[in-house]
Amino acid sequence: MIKHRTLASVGTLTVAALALTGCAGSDDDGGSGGTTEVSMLVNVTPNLTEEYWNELVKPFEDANPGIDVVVQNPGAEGVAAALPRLLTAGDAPDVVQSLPPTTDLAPELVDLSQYDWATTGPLADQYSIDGKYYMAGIGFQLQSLWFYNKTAFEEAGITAVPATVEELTAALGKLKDAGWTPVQTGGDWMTSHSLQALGLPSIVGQDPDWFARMSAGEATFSDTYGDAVATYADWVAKGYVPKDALGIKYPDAEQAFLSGKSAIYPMGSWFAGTEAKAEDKAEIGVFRAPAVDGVASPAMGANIASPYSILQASESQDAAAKLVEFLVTDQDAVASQLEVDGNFRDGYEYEMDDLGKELLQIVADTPAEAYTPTGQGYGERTLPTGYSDEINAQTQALIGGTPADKVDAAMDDWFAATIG
Amino acid sequence: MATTTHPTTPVPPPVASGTPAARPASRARRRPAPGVATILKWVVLGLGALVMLVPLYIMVINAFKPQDAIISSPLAITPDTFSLEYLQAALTSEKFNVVKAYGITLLFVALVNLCGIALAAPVAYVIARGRSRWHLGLLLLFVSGLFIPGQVTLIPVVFVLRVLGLINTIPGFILFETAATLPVTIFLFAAYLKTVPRDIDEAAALDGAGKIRAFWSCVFPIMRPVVATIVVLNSISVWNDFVSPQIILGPSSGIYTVTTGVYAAVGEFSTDYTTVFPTLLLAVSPAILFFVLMQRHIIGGLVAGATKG
Amino acid sequence: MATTVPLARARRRPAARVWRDRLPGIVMGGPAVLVFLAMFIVPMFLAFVLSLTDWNGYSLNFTFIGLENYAEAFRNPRTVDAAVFTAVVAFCGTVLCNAVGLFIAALIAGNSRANTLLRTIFFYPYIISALIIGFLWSAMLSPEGAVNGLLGHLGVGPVPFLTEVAFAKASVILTIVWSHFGFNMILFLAGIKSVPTEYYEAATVDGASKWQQFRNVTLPLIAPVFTVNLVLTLVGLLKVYDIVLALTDGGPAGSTQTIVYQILRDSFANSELGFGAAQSVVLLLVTAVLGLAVTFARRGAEKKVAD
Repeated sequence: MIKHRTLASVGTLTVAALALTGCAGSDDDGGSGGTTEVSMLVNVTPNLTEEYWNELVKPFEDANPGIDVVVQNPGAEGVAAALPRLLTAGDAPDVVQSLPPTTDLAPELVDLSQYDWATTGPLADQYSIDGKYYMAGIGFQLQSLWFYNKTAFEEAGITAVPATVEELTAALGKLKDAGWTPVQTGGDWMTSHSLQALGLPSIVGQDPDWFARMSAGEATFSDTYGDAVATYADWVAKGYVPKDALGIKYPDAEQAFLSGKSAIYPMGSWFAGTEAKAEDKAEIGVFRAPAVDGVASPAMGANIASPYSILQASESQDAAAKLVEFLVTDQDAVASQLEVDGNFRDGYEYEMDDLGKELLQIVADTPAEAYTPTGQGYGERTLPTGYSDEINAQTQALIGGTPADKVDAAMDDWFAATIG
Repeated sequence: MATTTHPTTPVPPPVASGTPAARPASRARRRPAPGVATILKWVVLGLGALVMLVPLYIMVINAFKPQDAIISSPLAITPDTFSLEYLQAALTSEKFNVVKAYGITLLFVALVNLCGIALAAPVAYVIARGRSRWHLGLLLLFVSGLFIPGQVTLIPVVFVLRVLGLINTIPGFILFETAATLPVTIFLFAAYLKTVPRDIDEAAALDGAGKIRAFWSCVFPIMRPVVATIVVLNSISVWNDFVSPQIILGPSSGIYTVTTGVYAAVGEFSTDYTTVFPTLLLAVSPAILFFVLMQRHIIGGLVAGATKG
Repeated sequence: MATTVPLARARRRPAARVWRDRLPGIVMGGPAVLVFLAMFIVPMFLAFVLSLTDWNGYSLNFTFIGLENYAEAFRNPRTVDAAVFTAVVAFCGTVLCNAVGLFIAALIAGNSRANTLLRTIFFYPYIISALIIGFLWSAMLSPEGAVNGLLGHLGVGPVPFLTEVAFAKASVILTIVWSHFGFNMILFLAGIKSVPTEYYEAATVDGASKWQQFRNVTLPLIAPVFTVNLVLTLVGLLKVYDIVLALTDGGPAGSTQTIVYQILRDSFANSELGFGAAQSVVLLLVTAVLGLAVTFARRGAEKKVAD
């Protein structure tokens, strides 16, 4: 027995040592012989795979032989959760993607005001903090959209896309009667998207300073969002939002809609990228999220698509700046990023199908003032940290049957506790 | 913690020590109405075993099926849709190099065991042999570590490692894991050593060896059983640890253990069953294989450690 | 080496010699103590200091806010819910793991091949990482997973194991018990086997039935093992994280978040290191108090056995 054990331990140590030499060989230390290494922390999604990222930066690396770009994958927690941890550990990357700058994070980011490509990019002003520009993005990502199954609308006898929330509610009723699952949503991060698509166009449309007033405690959730929550609860009660949505994750929810199992899908414009690549899909159209009857100009939630920021802690800021410039101005790079994720930008066209053209039209029809943040917000229009998680949890509670006033009270309590 | 002090010999009693509990089962027929009880017992045990094994069975057979087959008939073995491609994809996945992760995790297990025992055995000896208040205090200090949750210390440890320049490195990780094993190891070692008669020490001293050498050459070899137990316990806990490598070895280190690798591969796409099941199967197989082969020693070691602890 | 030296003679030994005698002890014990200090004691104090600030973990300025974080921890519904759920998991899990563990151990205490096989079968989940177990059960309990598929064949509609709050909480607890009770079982087996057979023989002579023997001989004599099991399980379950991360990721609607889940999220993702540290300190205190309380409470029971 003893001999076996020593044998076993020697054996394992040898295997381990061999494996280690194997990885010692492949793990390059970089920076050999004058190469600058620029590390970039990116969000890896079904659209933006690791292979995609590596190919995207390849032309830049070819054009700049002294710079080696290392793409870092934060894994399941995503960039937003991983970056603070990396900063704390002193292990931050040089460039970070997909993170909108916040006042908390701003001191850690390099001020990009010296670069034209940063100050004149899409939504640059909206995202500035204290007049400084901390990010550069590639285009517009629209949020307040309802994608719909055209066949479903035909069968339900809906001839025109809803222009008000009341019309939307009526349409959902007709769809349910025609046997369709009216709203497609899911149980992970996407749940609150439906509530925000319902509420924000009216709320911010009526009160453009909503973010600031909520953060200062001057307005309460129940006052402003109460109607939307009540409508949503009503939808749940009538079965327009199926309860079992909570068990579905984002990729599956999307798949269900694409294959024609549901009628309306609230999602951001990046869905068009997935739709374009899908085969055997249903006929899908899109309309902008309406406001309640009487709101003059409905707000349109929009985020910057794929913002890039450079971290102060970076030791290769110049190289990093060159990389970011490439990523946000190079025609091919930008068009490729826009296409793959369904985002839009004037002057950067790519082959798009009918759905894409409908979206481009919406972008063209939306006045600049109508753009509003969603979720926790960005630039100077932000809500306290944790809001996105909280409203997501509460929307899930609504679908689970929690009454509207309880949800309102919970959100009010959360705001009071967080601001207070 | 109170212990049952049996006057035990250093070699653990073999597991087969014939308690009467086993015998009545065969003599059941002689006792009034035990037949029903016995049948009931085996039914319960059978059902229990099923509940334990079915998940394993599901993981294995679904690693070879396409997505729709998994969803529609999770329990059935479907020879017509049998395919090795998912397993292959998981093996060659860019996200998670399984074989490399095995090697790395094995290395960590080996290193932590080595360092842990090297640190713990001497101090346990000192504690076990010592009679002063200091020695008791030292024991209490280490045992208090049992009550300190790892996650409480993990986050400030990040700063300590930063100061030492060890964050994001293998030595830093080994340091933390080794420290984490110290409380249990020292506790079990000290308890065991208290039952080792002092004649050994005196014999070693007579040989003129220094105290340290005396320990390693004379006392330590006698500690084999409890060392075996400790190796088992610590290996399991290091192999399965997720939070520590996730936080101490960040993405820039490029190092994935089996657990952090599984999380990276499966975490985001947990409904793509053609990724989930093969990855889980690959991650779990070596551990289960090792366990099945060594289970007598593993469980025996734990049992022995428990009776002495 | 003589261990008892008359005090009079001790004073006469030159200091250098005393240190030389003590040196091996220091060399042998030193490294362990140093490592322990660096990785346990220092971080604990750091955590306490951090908990008094509002630091986010990386910026250059922070302020001392006294016990504000602690007040927040007791006030914030999210942390309170997480604490309550963790307590529920810890207590229910401990009770169930020990009950099932003891029950099965009693059934398979014999030495037959069948019992050895069963031992392996009941114990193996303990050696698999909690993360993997969480992912496996998450796949099996999902609306289109194996369990619902099976229930479907039996004519029962899909059960929302992971998507409705009450079900999700129960699923977490049951999955933990499934993976953990094997450990308790092994410890109980060890205890049961170490009861000297003379006691059973004496009891049989007295005419006691198997159940009476179990209650009056086995149970009291494995009291120390019981204590160890209770304390280890309780302390261990207070730190539940991996399995929750993989099984439900804290959902649905944040209802299955445990304290450690909260701590990690607050400390990193939410950039509220001070707040996370405060929760850590509270967890530490609760763990220590509970562990010691159970140990001392059981000491009473064990003293009765020893007599």
